[in-house]
Amino acid sequence: MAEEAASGTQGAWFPRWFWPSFAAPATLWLILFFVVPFYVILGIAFGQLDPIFLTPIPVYNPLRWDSTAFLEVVRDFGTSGSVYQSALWHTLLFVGISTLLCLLIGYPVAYFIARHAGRYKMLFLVLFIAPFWISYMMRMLGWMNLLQPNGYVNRILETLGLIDQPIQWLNGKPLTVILGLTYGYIPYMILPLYGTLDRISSGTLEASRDLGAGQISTFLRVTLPLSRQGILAGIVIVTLPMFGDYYTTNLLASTRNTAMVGTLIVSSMGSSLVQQGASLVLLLLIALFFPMLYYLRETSRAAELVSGA
Amino acid sequence: MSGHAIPHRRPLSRREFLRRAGMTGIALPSMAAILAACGDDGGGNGGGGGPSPSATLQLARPDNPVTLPTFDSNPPIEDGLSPEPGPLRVIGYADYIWNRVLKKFSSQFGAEVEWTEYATPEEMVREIQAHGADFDLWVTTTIENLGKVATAQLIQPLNHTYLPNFEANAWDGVKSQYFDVRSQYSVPYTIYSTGIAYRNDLVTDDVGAMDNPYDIFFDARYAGQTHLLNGARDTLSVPLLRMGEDINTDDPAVLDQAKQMLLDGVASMNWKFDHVDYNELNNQFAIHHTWNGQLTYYIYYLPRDVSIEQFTWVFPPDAAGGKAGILTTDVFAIPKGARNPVLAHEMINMLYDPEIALENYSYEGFQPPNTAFSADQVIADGIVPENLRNTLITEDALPLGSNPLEVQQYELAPATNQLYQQIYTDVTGGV
Repeated sequence: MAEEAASGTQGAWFPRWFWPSFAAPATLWLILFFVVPFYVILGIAFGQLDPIFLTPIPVYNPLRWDSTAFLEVVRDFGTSGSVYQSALWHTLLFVGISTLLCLLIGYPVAYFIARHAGRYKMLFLVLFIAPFWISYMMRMLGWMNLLQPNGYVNRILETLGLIDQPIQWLNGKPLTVILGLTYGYIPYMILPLYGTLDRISSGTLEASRDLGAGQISTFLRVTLPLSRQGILAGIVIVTLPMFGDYYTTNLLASTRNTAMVGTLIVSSMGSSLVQQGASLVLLLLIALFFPMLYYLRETSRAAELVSGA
Repeated sequence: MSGHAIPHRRPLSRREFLRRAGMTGIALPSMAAILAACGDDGGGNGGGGGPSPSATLQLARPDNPVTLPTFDSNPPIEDGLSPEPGPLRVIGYADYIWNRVLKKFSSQFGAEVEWTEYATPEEMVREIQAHGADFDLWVTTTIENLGKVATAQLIQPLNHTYLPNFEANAWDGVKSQYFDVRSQYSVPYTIYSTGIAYRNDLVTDDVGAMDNPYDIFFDARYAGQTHLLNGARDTLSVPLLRMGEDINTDDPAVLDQAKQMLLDGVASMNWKFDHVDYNELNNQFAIHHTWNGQLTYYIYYLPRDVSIEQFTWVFPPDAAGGKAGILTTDVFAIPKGARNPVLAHEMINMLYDPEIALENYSYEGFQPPNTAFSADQVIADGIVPENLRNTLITEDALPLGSNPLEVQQYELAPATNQLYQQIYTDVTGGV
């Protein structure tokens, strides 16, 4: 009976295709908006260029694919000092540090809201998230105003006597890009962490203390391991869009020294290097596939542990 | 964190140049590229001649003026037609015709104007190639794209009987230009120069008195405060002009030198590549490689504590060192298959009406090549301040190509074009 319920066959008057058909809209959506566009990108990356206009001519027959542009990009990634390699390093560095900062800042915030905000839990959550109801672009434009030479940040630092000359925050500083990314994506770290921490039952924590563990030990041996799925989810949710981000660095830095893979992809779209751009999309997808796989493996393993318990 | 990696020097060998050229699937042509699959005759003026398998894309130069081919299948519109009901569908740069002028047009012809914005000429060429018939008027295309879009029949010949204002009021020097003899497919909208704008309160040097004014872009005292125009052709023009080279060169050794100069500049100057708009004007900058018309834009968007008198404009051909500089034009064209071609002609004609041309200029800041335009008058009217009088172009500068120091970005062979684009990406990182 339980098996029947689980497999969805309860209510035998439904035909076999009835329940699976519920997945049809999502499947169609994926085919239309992921599989087909992805194949177009493949067709462009391995296709041809119009000999006069240098516009892409997608080739959809894999037997006629030409890998020259793709291999060119792969080769450039391995060439010291090439724009592709430096953009790759910038991307890894900026995304890595920003994700770490999101975690270091976001975890205590989520922990506080989940465990110590009491009946004001929702109020705090809304207050923390409220600034992020404004569009990402507007927030970055706001930062541009704050960080310009005569902006409030420099004025405050000057008033406090911490600087003599305005800091040129917007002139290609990696630090500005990292802070922009951290600020822009931190709510996406806080929300899954809060969800996970909030679900840890107080009984589990009390049991730990009853068994003699101190506060730190309880956190390290109970809370932290139990919030691992939230940390992983937060990292994935934050990292994936950061890897494709281009507007943060374009708005807050906009120099070669802060170029990311996303900026190369976007700039290629309006130029004759569109095959290289499509190749970058494919390589980025391949690179992100493995951490995503790891995340899925970890979550399914956690689900198995829970159902096993 | 703040340390910047110095870009690795990667000379561009002839082999690499040819390999990249090969990536475009063509051989490197010298003066012409064969445009395959043009359905019919490239002969004269649409008269006679049956279909032939190809037409030749000729690369126009001042010493090699080009009469663009016409085709039986792509004739100009008939004489004496009435304007269509519209709407007039425009493809163009944002805000490139004053909204007030567009409203006047709508009220005069009873047709709305729908404007689709694009940021670069290349994007517009792509859109015209893909969906040209969705547009009636192109505001505007550039010399370096005109030949190929005409030869590929993406635009239609103009019927000058609808353009009496052009015939009556355009400067003589723009009525038949080397890239489109007899203005068969295009008429100019604006004429403009590219030079150096700088804040004279921040830059102590007299840039106009320098032997080579382009050196100012590489002066480390202004690192982080110097902006170069974005776009492959404009950005690469800076080192090429600084070296005294042709801005249309296809010599890989010269282009490699230009690339290295830009990479060195990126490392030492931390340039920004942009057009300098509202945000950049507020973010203190000292030097900008820009168009003369952009100075008029500055007037309206400067921060409160900065006045336009704090800006100086230098056009290198007029400077002490007498270096070359870019003087060029943006041209109107009408896409093939336009559903409202008469309206499109009427809009062009209206913009050559002396009163409308000046009204539009007072907002746009980019100069129409119109006989009604007077430098003294626009200064007296306060449209341009006296200290920027030298941004104004006079009729004696025309025709384009007549002064060897006033150069244009010509149409390039596709492989060379691709190489410029690759260098631009290598230098800017796509930002």
